[in-house]
Amino acid sequence: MLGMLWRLLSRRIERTQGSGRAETSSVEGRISSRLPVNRDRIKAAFGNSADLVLRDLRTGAQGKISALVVHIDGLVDKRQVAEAVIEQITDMGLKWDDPRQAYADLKARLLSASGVEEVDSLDRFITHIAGGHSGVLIDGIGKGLVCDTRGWEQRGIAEPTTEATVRGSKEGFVETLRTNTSLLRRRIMGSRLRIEEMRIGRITQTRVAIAYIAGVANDEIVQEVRNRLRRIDVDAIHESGNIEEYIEDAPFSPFPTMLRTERPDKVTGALLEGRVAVLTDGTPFVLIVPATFTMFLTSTEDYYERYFIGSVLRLLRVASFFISLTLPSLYVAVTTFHQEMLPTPLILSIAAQREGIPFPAVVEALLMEFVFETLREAGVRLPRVVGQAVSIIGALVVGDAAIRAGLASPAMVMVVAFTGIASFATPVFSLAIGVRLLRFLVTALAGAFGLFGIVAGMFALLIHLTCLRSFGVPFLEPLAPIVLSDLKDALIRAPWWALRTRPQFTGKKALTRQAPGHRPRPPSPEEKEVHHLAGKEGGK
Amino acid sequence: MSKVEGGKVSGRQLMAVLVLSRVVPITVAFPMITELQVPQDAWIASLLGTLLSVPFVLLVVRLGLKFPDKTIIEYSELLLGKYLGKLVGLILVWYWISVVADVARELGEAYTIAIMPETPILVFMTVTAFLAANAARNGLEVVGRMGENGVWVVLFFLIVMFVLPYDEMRFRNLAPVLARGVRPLAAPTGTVVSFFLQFIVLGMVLPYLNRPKDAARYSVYAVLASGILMTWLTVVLVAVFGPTVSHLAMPAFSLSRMISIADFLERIEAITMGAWTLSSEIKLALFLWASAVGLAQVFGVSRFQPLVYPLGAIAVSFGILFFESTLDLQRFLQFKNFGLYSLMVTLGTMGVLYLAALLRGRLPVGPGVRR
Amino acid sequence: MLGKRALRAAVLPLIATIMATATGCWSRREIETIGFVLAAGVDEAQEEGKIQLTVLIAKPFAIGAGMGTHGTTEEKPFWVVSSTGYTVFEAVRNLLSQSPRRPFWAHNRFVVVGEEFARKGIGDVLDWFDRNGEPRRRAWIVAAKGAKASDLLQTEFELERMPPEGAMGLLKAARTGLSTVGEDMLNDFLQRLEGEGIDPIATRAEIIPRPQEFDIRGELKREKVGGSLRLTGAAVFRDDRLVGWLNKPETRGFNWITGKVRSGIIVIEKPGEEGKFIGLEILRGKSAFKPEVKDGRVTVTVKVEAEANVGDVQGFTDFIKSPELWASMERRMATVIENEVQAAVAKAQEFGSDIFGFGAELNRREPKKWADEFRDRWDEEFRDIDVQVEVKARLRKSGLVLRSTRIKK
Repeated sequence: MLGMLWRLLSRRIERTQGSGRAETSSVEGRISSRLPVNRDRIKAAFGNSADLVLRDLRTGAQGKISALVVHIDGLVDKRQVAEAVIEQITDMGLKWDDPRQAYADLKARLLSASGVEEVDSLDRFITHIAGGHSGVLIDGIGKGLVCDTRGWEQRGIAEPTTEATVRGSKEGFVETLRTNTSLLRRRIMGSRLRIEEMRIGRITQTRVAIAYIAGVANDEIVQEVRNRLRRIDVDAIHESGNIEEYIEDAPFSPFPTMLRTERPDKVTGALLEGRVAVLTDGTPFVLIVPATFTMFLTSTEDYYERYFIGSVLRLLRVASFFISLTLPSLYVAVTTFHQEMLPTPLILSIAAQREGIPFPAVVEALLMEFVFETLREAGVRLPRVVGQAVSIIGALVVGDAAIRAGLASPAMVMVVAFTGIASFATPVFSLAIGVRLLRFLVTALAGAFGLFGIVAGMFALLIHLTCLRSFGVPFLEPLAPIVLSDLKDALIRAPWWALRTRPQFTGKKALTRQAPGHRPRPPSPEEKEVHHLAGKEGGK
Repeated sequence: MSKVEGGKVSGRQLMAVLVLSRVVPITVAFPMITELQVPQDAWIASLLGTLLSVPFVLLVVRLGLKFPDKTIIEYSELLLGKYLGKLVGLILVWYWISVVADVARELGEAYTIAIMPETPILVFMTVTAFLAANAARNGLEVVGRMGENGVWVVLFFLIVMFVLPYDEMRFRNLAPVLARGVRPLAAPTGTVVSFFLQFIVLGMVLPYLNRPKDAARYSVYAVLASGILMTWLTVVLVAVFGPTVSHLAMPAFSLSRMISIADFLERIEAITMGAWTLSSEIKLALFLWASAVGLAQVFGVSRFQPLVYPLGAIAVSFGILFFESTLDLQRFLQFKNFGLYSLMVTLGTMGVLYLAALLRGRLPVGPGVRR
Repeated sequence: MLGKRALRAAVLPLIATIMATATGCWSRREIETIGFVLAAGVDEAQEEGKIQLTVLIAKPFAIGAGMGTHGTTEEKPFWVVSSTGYTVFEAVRNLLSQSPRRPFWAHNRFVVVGEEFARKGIGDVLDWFDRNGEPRRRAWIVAAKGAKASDLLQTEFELERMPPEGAMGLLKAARTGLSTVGEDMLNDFLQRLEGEGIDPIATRAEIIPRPQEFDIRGELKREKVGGSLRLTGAAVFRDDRLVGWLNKPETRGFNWITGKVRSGIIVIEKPGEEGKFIGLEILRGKSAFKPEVKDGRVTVTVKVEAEANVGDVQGFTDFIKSPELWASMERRMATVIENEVQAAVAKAQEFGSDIFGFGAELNRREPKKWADEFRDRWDEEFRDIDVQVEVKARLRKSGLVLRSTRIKK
């Protein structure tokens, strides 16, 4: 239904847009040997943009050589441009006699930036400049040099705000791709970390990188990621969320099939399981594929705290996942269909609370849910100072006034509040949001059919989840199909020394992770003997 | 490999789905209990019936493995020729549809008798059949995976139900043993066997097993596991309800109504009802899948998916039309009706197929000859 | 490709919503529109052949202590109402002409029968309680001695606002502290009705008239309707007809035989000192009975093992210095238990009702003989069977003191 509507709509849009292919401004041709020509063409290409800096220089023994330094203001490190480029050309250029010598000299040793590249197509030259390089052109030479002088204002590495943990690294990704890849490199020092880069977006030319570990990641999955990324042919990529929507497996599912994170340690953990990360310039959120359901209930902390704490926390999260999905519907079902299920004093007290409330319990539940969701949304967007006021109003309005006004019963308020808290226990926001939507649906079903409605809803959900796949991996793996060896790190986390293998689907290329026998145990008698002797010798 | 269905299931998934589909008729209606004349001997009938069913299941598996890539529908055509083979196929499909019809009806009856009497039975039947058909459409793989998950939920609730009424259990209700001889046990034992005969659906699943050599092992496990569950349930039922057990329309349901832990955990039958709904859904999905694939193969259609919803709708209308009342349904489930029907269809077809295979010399000399 | 998956994704919720809004709600009953029945009673109605059904329905709005706006502490949190009909179900439906809230039976804990009605047989009224989906087989069957069920339901408790809660409390307290009540839940009652060689019992309850109260000025206050309720033993049924009553000691005798004694007090006269008594607290009781057929006659041997502690002692006693006193106390305790058991058996034989299940046990042990000789004439046979009682009584502890205070003379 939705799909047909969608197709109709998009056909309309295509028709009105004509060809539907976005125009790109590419500059044809090679760099001319005449400097003024190049100068004009560059100026035209950028449409006389205000931040384009064209610096004409005269250099050479007799000042006969004219050079041009081009860069975009704000994208380059100005000091570096001055020291590494302009100073080189002006100061050192005094001994140059002709442009050819100047060019060779500059290319070979003088420009002291770390990356210098020779370019002869004007298009590539301009692309580099747009990316923050500075370009050097010399009159009479049909080639240009681009030096890596990139340097712009960027946010410092800070603690990730959406995924705070008590224990573990406090570093989070930032908006710069190169910094992000460096964060990965710093954690995986071995040479097997592969980072492939590509540009997506005709206009934005956003840099997107794929990271994986050679020999661990499944080649088919890596290839699939590459293919799907390459298929994207759009104007702009603003955030990794755009990429997610273009390449995810189930666009109409309420469940996300790609995991997003701003924690480098989470990404390296996933890479070591044979997964693939997609990093996008301009956003701290990195995508991890293939993602499975249990990953959404996992926090990096589970792996750092001792295993039983990690396991208990994970079980708690699983429980709160189910609570946030079903608690209001269970309450509605029990109070309107199955009043026998609660102990007599409790049901009588709930009945007393419902006395005089004008709505049916379903409506009451949906209403309170709605109020709660609105409050939450308002709280997220507001500045911190005002946010506090909102929560006070919320507590008063929802908690007290609604009850006093006879709009809601205290039990319902408690149910909704607990559901809300439980939904915050899901570590990944995108899953929590999907669950919230489903909750409304399940509540409505419970209002119509009681527990039968809930069971039917859950069954439908189970069918959907069982059918879902993320890059070829079943979404519910290892729960459906049950993969016994992967259950050790699904709903619970086994101790590290027991996590000997990678997940079957993503890590089948190099399944074993560690040597056997890591489990700590008291030293055997022979070992003791050795220690004893060693101690004696030391004492001598 | 047949083109109609492309998925693969594991032995464990097969076992889970089979156990679930056998658990359905003991938890909702439990026809064998209703037929008891000597309630305290119920467990003997249950054990006996289970053991008698093992050879039948082995027969289905053995014949199936002779034709590794073929479903029972396909090899019956090979063995019996085009027309007779198709006839056998149609009979089996009919049998599966009738199973779907009465499972759906049973579930609907259970809901309307005890939990939500005002709601039309059609609602329950349609919703369950629709969801089951939805699962079936996604293929055997999905049904298998759901079974693998669902079986734990259902087992949990069954075991809760088997253990928690301990306060009300009087095990002296089980004596005297065989006071009236074995004769009164004939009908209940027959009923037990007749429900196990539904495992003929194995004939459809076998070619899609990822390791065919697991087939015999896991199908026998499935029979034994469900037999043990059933025997346990009969023991608990007799211990709790004594001589009154055979009046109950839904003994297991009544059992869950007896649970009371510390005046707090009481009257939890709606939850057990939920667990049964889950098992019924998976059973319906399995049998709808089997009949859709079967029908597709009989008529040489390349896709079974378009057949699933119509078959579900047909089954639901059969479920409504076949039985005038609850009592009609309960009578149908007794040995002299469903039992004999089941025996005739399944043993009949298996017998004919086996004979034909013998005559055509396609039977192995020893066991486990495949490939 | 897009359309198909989208279709599937969209259709399910769509159907769900349509069904939820358009069709649902058949069985929906908002919690405030139902009346929770906590206890029910059955009597004969004035009209010939009809029965009178009395129910006790909770008034939730009168309970909520926290909900200042509704109810006062003066308001009773329950409502007792009666209706009549030829069958229970008819009477249940007839309640709807008086109760604006539909009675809801799942929380019903008691089925009370009036004595007069019970003597005529209660089997027919139990059918609805077993057949309908709402009431449970966990309801206790209570017989009102010398009263109508409707009167029993009017009784109130000082310590509990909700009478059925109070009755539950009494039942539990008496079960664990006195062992002098007989109890059968509907489930047991039905099994005993159907089982061979066993007859049902029920809890015996009586109304204790409440003393009229005076206010501080000495004026008589408004007379309250309800008296108070006391559980005083067991009601004995033959088949489904009430045939007689067991008093408290007899009921404990019954409980000794069936192994239901949990605790209780046995008072014995102090050996060697007339007029002084010793109270013993039963710790645990174990029992087994074994029917045997000898020469076509049935003998039942009941073995009881009981342990007790000394609870209180009258007169000066030094247990350490007088071990023979301890032994004779044990002997007296055994005699008391034996007397209780014999009294229960004598009463049951007088009523001709095998409430102990001697016949059923005989059936389990010797099904052949039972079927051939006794099944059809068990009623007469039961009256004549010889019951041997063997009691092993043990005293364990004497409390915190070893000898009692000697009052100086």
